[in-house]
Amino acid sequence: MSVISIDNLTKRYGARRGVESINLEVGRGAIFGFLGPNGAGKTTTIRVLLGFLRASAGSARILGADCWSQSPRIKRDVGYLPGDLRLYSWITLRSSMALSGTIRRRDVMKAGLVLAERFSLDPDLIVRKMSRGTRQKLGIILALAHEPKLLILDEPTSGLDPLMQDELARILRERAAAGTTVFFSSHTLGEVETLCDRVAIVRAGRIVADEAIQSLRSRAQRTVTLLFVDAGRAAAASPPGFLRILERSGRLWRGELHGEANGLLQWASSQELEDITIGSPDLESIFRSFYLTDDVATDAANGAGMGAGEQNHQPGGGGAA
Amino acid sequence: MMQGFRGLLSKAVRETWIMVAVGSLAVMLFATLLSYVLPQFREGLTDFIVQVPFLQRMISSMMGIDVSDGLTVQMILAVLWTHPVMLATIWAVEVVLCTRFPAGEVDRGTIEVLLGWPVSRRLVFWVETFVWWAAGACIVLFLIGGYSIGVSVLSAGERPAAGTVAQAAVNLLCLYGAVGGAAFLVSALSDRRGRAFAVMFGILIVSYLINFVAGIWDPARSIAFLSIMDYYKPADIFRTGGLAWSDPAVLLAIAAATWTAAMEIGARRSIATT
Repeated sequence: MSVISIDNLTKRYGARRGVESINLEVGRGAIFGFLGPNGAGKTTTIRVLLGFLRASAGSARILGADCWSQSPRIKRDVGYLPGDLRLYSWITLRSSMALSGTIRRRDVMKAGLVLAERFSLDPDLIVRKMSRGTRQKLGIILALAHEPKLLILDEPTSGLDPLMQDELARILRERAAAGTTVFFSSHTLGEVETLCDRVAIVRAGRIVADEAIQSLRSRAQRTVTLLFVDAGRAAAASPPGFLRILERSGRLWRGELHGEANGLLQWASSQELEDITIGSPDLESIFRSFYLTDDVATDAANGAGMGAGEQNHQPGGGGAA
Repeated sequence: MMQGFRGLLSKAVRETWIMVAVGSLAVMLFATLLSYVLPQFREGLTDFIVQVPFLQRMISSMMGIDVSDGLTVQMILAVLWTHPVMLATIWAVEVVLCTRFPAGEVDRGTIEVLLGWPVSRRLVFWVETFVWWAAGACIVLFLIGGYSIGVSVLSAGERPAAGTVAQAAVNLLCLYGAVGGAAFLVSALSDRRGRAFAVMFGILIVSYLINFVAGIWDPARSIAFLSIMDYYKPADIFRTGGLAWSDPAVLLAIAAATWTAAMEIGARRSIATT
């Protein structure tokens, strides 16, 4: 059974668009990244999952239960960090753990204090005296302390320093290894790339890609730099079809590799080159192509991802979203 | 369910007890002062009222009884229960309490933390309702306490009977219920606490004015029933020693209808901070 199951979910705010016909399946133990530019619909989707917003059409289920009608029951198994985190000004970590423990009917104090130590958070510091980053740490601990089956984190690294971001990544990997599902939205492509098993990219209210990171990486182009022994040989050479040259300058070529590195190396062995550099797959360029292109269908046509028309259920992220 | 209730209740009490304590003490102080001072001026006030017909109508209108024959000690003590300062203090505390959820939580952005816990919105409503009525009981008890201190200097014959005071308190609690229910409803329809607060005070001021104008201007009498103050008559209770039960019944019906509507709207609407 999927931990998160979203089926043709649409949410409109009157005439304003929220999200349109979203489909997602997230399985147990996955770290799922939910990416998209501001206003794309990430937070709307999360709020529907948490039962704050009622869907205009379609359905959202967590652990098989309907997110709207069974919201309180679902939240026993969910840890949530809001994107725009506002905490009660009078609470401390200790008092919030006591409160959370009373409401959740379980002792979360010990786990909270362990997490506080890992995040270097004073358990008796009151929220009104906390910096933004410190409040974010408390919000994260509140989401984690009861050891939920599902973590929904809306931009969790916002306000955290790099060391704390690393600590959070470690904790999320530990939790995922223990079977917790992590669903988090982010703007930071790097953290998604290093942390997630799978990503969905939402733009203008629609999911334009839902794929395993590995699959995206295999489609990502590599940058290639070729340095010929002299400008004459560079001018005489003709690039193979899988190498798209973006810049020619004297004896230097820069381009993108659309294929396997082996093919390039074979071709390069027949050239008189002084140096050759093949860069890592550039995932960021793929993400950006999803963000920037105006027409969803154009994305598909460019081979950069899946168009809205192709969006469907693909548990496991088989390409189309 | 009860654990959730207890947790939310401890949070609500933590956030409101100072305001309720200050409001109750202010009401008590005012009640003591007014119930001590007013009987001292009864004779002078009665002479003055009889000589100035307009003032007579104004006071009659404010108290909801005819004072053309002068004021008895019992009647003058009823001024306390209808005094604008007293009512404004009680209502201020009450509207703050009744607009805490959802408008207050949405406005301060904490609703996502609150509803991120495994609690239903209905449970939050029940907790807030409990706090609202507990605060109402506390305020009214402090009012009665202050009143009792103030009138303790009067002779036993001049002091209103305990039963009369209790009936006035019941009438006040019913008014408190109607105002609070309406405040819950306005809050359920709003995402901004300031707006909910303004709307509620607008309703209360209009209600108070309708009642007041109806007392001094005959053509306005036909719309007096629209004012909740038309069902709150402590002076009548002090004068006759009895409560017309239709008045609290109307107030309780308003309270029940508005509170139920608030609960249903609050539980079914989409809620978000932005």
